[in-house]
Amino acid sequence: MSEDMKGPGEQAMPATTAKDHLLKVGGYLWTNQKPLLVLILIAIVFAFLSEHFFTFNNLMNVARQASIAALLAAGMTLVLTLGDIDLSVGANAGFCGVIAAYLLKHGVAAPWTFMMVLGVGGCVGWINGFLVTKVRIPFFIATLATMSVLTGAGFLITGGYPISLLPASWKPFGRGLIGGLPVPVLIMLIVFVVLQLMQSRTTIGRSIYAVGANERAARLCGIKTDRVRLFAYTLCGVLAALGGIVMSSRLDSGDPTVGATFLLTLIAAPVLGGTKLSGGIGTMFGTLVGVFVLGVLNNIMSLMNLNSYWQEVVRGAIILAVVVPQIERRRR
Amino acid sequence: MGNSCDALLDVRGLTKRFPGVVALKNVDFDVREGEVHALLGENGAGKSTLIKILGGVLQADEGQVVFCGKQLKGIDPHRAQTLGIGTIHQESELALPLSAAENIYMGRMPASIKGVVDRQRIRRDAQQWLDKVGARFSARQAAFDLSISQRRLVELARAVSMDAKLLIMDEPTTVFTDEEVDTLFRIIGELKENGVATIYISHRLQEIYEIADRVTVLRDGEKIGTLDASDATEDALIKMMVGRQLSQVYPDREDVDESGELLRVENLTRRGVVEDVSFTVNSGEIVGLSGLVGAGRTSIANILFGAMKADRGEIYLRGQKIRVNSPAGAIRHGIGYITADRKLDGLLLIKSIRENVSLACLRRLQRLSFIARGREKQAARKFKDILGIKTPSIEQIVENLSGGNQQKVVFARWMLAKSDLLILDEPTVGIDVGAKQEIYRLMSGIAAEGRGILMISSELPELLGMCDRILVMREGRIVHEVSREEATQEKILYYSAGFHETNSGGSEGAEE
Repeated sequence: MSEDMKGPGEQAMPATTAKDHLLKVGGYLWTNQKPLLVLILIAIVFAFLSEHFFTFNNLMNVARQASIAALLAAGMTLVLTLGDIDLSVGANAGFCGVIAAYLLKHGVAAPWTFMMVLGVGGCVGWINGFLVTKVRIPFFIATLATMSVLTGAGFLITGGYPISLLPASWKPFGRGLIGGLPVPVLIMLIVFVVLQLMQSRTTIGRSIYAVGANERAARLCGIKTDRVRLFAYTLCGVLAALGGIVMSSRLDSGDPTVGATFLLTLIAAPVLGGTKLSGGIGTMFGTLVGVFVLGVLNNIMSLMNLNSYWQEVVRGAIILAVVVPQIERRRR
Repeated sequence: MGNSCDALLDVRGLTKRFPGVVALKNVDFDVREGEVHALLGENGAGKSTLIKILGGVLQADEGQVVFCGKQLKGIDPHRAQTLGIGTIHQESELALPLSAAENIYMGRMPASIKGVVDRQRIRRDAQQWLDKVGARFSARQAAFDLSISQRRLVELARAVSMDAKLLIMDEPTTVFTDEEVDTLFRIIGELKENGVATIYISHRLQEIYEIADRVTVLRDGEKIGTLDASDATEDALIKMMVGRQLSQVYPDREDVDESGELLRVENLTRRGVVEDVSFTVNSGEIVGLSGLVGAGRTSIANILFGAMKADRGEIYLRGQKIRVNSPAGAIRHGIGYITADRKLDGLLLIKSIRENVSLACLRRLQRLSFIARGREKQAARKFKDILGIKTPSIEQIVENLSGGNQQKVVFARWMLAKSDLLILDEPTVGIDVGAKQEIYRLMSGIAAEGRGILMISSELPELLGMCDRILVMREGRIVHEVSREEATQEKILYYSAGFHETNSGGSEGAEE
């Protein structure tokens, strides 16, 4: 009909081609995510101001750094889309890195270690889901508790010190190159393509949206809401493990302290990318954009030699500006 | 005791509009000092709106309220209380973690030294008020641990302790035992001797005869009349409550093909909610489920759909005994359910029409767990056109649609799911007359295809206009069944209000 009817209609349109997708994201950003747009503009301006930004090494460095956060944020996006938050994602990644280092140090071959660690992360995610759906503990409390348990367990295993100097067979996951591209970046791209397809095309993806949008309605439409939740939490755990694997390989150590530092980014990035904390709305693509915008801002601040304490302040301020208005809207 | 005013409360020309509805139209109403004045009317007649205005919860659009000689304007609930109007709401409004005593003194805790609450005194005084209203529990108990009826007593004690001149009680006895009802009536009697007036809302007509001095009947937001309780016959009251014209909004329905029994329910019981309910729905039939709010109608729907567990009873679909443990199971058996509150548990408001329509049959639309998007879109477009959902695109977010169009989206969902048995709970609530008419035509079409509909409704004209048979429920039981030909509003109301229980002289009382 008229012009104003087109706006909201287009937002919800599924992406059929890359062009459509870009148009959709552009329109969406303009109507719903002005903060993100502003951040992107700031990033572009400062990127051109800095002579080091547009160098191949620097850009790869940004991508490599962002890849770990992106894997964790992907899992977080699944849980956020349900309307929940998994506070333990970062801790789970750290814990999985420690387990990987531990197994490798005890002579377990890299492929086996890889599989086992994914299993461990999945189990942690499943336990979160179990606590939330079956034991009916509020997600905030449940995942806060597992976060604490995982962090503590990591310290117990390592005795407080990182397990360093991992075998060379572990190196490819974080530091390898395939066809000139860093392996972590490739892993990230594959994961995001698969997850984006899952979200937009599959029954389980649709079910996650439905549960997040209105759990009671979803249940009355025959969706097994508990199973959907368990699935999302478990997959979130597996992705955390994958992030942990890449991280341990990149740092060449299993360090129990690094996981927790991610938490703020993991909530901010999806929200920047359009995921609603109240559930039911959000895309993997948006989360990827969010992660990279935050990554680029970090990089620029470092290139500008901004004091690292000030960097913290800026990061916090960004989150206040972006996340808090959404919480207000949620109360409506 | 002041005899300052003959009319304690005088309401003139009160009008209240909500978007799309006029809840009260130019209502005059008065309450005398020391009088028990009953308010009567069907669900949605405007009783709650009236008492909410009196209690300061809502503001009137027009008209004036004079209370004890003072004009009330723009008051809030707190002000209403301090002026002497105490309300006991249908739903408890206590702070559950706090003690009964703290609830009674909420907002006006006596302090010993500046700012420090005198707990001892609160407890002591509160206990006295509780004793006075016949409560046999300690004021120290948390509201949390009290039963529903005990919580009502706390609210009553609170109202009485505030020295109210006018008490408003909205269906206070629904959760009371006979003994508690007697106590309540005794207290109302005592208050009355002290000059305290009561506005009493109840669906139990016999209670009204027991305690009320006068009765005012509301219908569709208008005052129909005020009678002395001693002059008011049951017939007169019921006629006043329902006397509406059946307009021609209902489609003509062909006679039922009596061939096939679709659903048979036997001895369905869920303790305290549904008692020993048995009935059938035939193919092509629309069966109505009437009764007051809380009579157990929605619980039957939830049990049939697997959203609530039954303690006992059997469900047969086409003669086959089935067990429904979950909505998913019910859907597989071909049952669809449109709930009373489409926003609460019907729609994904933030999602598109397409996603809402396909939600109940994702299983059928999927191939190797991928959703067949072409078929999904096609289905959504088809039902958008069939049902006349007025919007340019199936990608429109449901939140942006009008109530009537939203309800059509829910209908589209279950038509796509090809449900054989459709359970409708208040299918036309909150939608305008035009959309209602379309929904009725849809229902008629669904029945004509040989499917069955079980329709819950509080709108009697709608039940009379649409249903082949009507089952009347009261307190968890089916107390009466009438065919389309025999059904009248009077008869249904007679049974749902429980007159047959008090009239030992036979059940024909409402027919003359």
